[in-house]
Amino acid sequence: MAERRAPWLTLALALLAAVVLAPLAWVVLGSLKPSNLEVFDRPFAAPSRLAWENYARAVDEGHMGSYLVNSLLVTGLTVLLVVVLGAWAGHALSKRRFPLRPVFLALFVLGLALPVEAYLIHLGGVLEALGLHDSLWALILPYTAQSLPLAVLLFSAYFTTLPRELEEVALLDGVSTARFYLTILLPLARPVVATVAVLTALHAWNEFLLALLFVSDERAKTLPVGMIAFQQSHTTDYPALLAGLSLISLVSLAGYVVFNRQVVRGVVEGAVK
Amino acid sequence: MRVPMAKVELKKIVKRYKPGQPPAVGRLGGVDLTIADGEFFILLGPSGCGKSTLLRMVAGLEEISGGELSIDGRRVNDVAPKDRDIAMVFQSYALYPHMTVRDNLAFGLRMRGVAAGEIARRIGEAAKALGLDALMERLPKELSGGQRQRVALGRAIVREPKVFLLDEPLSNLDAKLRGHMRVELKRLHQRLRATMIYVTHDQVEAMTLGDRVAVMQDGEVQQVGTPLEVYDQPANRFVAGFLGSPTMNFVPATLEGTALLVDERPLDLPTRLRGAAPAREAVELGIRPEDLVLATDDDGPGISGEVAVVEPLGAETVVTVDTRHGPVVARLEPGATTRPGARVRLVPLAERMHLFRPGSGERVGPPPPLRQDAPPSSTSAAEPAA
Repeated sequence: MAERRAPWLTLALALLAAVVLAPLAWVVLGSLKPSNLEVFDRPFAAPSRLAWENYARAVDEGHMGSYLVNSLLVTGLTVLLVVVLGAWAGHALSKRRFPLRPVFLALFVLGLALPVEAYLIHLGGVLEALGLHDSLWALILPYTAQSLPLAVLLFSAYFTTLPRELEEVALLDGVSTARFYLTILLPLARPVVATVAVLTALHAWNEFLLALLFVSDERAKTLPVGMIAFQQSHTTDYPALLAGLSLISLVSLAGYVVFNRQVVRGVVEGAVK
Repeated sequence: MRVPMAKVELKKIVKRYKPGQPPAVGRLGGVDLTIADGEFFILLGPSGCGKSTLLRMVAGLEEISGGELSIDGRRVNDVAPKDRDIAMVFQSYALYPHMTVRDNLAFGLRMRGVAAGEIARRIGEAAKALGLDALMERLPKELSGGQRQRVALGRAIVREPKVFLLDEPLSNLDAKLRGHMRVELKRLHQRLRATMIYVTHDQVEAMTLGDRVAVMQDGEVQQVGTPLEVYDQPANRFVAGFLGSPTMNFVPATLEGTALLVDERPLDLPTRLRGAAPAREAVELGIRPEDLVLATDDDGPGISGEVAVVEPLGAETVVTVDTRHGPVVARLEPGATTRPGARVRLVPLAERMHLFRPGSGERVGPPPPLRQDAPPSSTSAAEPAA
């Protein structure tokens, strides 16, 4: 027998969906409107005509091509680092016994609790000292550090469920540590890898604050910050800005739709099992 | 199928979990064992006795704190597990969940750089021997417990190791399948004649599979012998009580010249036990359930009591008698007639009696001879001492 959902729950979920979708609808509708006036005068009305040229302007005048390459590089490298390091650390924390293990675990948990504002100034100082300011690494490294705590906890929770014997069989089979990691652990943890990859990619793709503060060189800017070009001191080309934001969101939305199932599975396997 | 054989020698093997810890406090306190070429050797004992730790030390999965381990004459204490030329089958099977049966069988060989043709040949032979042909493309999750167990065995067989190590491989199977796989394992060993070390807490597996059995308790080997030796001639009270189902009965008694006083009534001692201990010494009489004869009168030598439970099992009848020393179990002929509440006397067969020292559990006097083919009922019950 199918379980009936309580009406109040349906209403609450519908309201929540409306709150989440309303800004997105406003962005997409605004991106197709021909003028600033129309964007603000009738925010949720249909455009008087479909102004597709906003998208062409966003791509050409907004230099989205080069920003896209930067965003892809930052997101790709961040995901790679977070998955590799997160799985490694997660495995060590779940299967190895070493001094100060609880301290390391606590430090990772602390990473989840720290708001970016708490370390922003010091982070700037560290990046400056390392000479990484205005480079893609000024984003890749902080993004990796920000995403690692959750990744480590998810991987660690998942690896705890794997029997110790699996590692011992591999040891008897003569599998090297690196090979065990690549051919046994990562394929087994596929749902968690997918979850961590999608969550990390969403964060790295959309992040704005650090990208605004630590990268001022045009050659290293990512998409969200690049779009600011449409906002000037006296005038802002809102339709083009919204067109650019629509394109950026489209990528992350598409990614989430494709990997939705794996993400949920990964979170559940990491958290419950 | 070619399987090389090897002798495994353990000399004063010690396991300590903390440096400087005396061996007795650790799990293993100096184990000496020699396992012959092609022998099916059983490590038997209750949970926590150190049998799995010992096996894992042979495998190289646990560090050896002291003593010497050699396989085929070569000291392997510090040799990596992969270089010891052993294969291990785990209780949980430990198959790679994301690999098919074929890949599970082939993986270890690929890691060792065995040629593809040779891998295919070995896998083909093992699959045929274990009936895995139809399952080769399946994932472990698509297999039953028994099939997984066969794949785990197959993975060990294709390695063609010098020594097979099996850690409670049948424990996760249900009783029926366990019985079936026990027979399969026995056949496999008879065909391969490989050296196998098998850990179990199940005495039936130990008795039916082993060429020899080492019974362990608290990190010490209590006795090593053939299954019949450890059953018929247990070295001490622990071994006597651990083997056998129903277990051996223990009743307090006193030595009195050529007789043994049980319930203050004298039982005639067999010659081997006369003079085994000073007179008037308190001992424990150990007697297996099949070595008791039921007498329906309550007036004579033996252990008196009231029948509590009668279990007719078809091939035999198991009778539990409540005595002043606690319940005593007897295994009788199928047609034995008694009923709960009846006053009875259980008379031990003199030549099957065991005496143990109370407290230490050491054996008093020589053990009875090995049980011959003659059924227990053909031997005579102890007569009252003259």
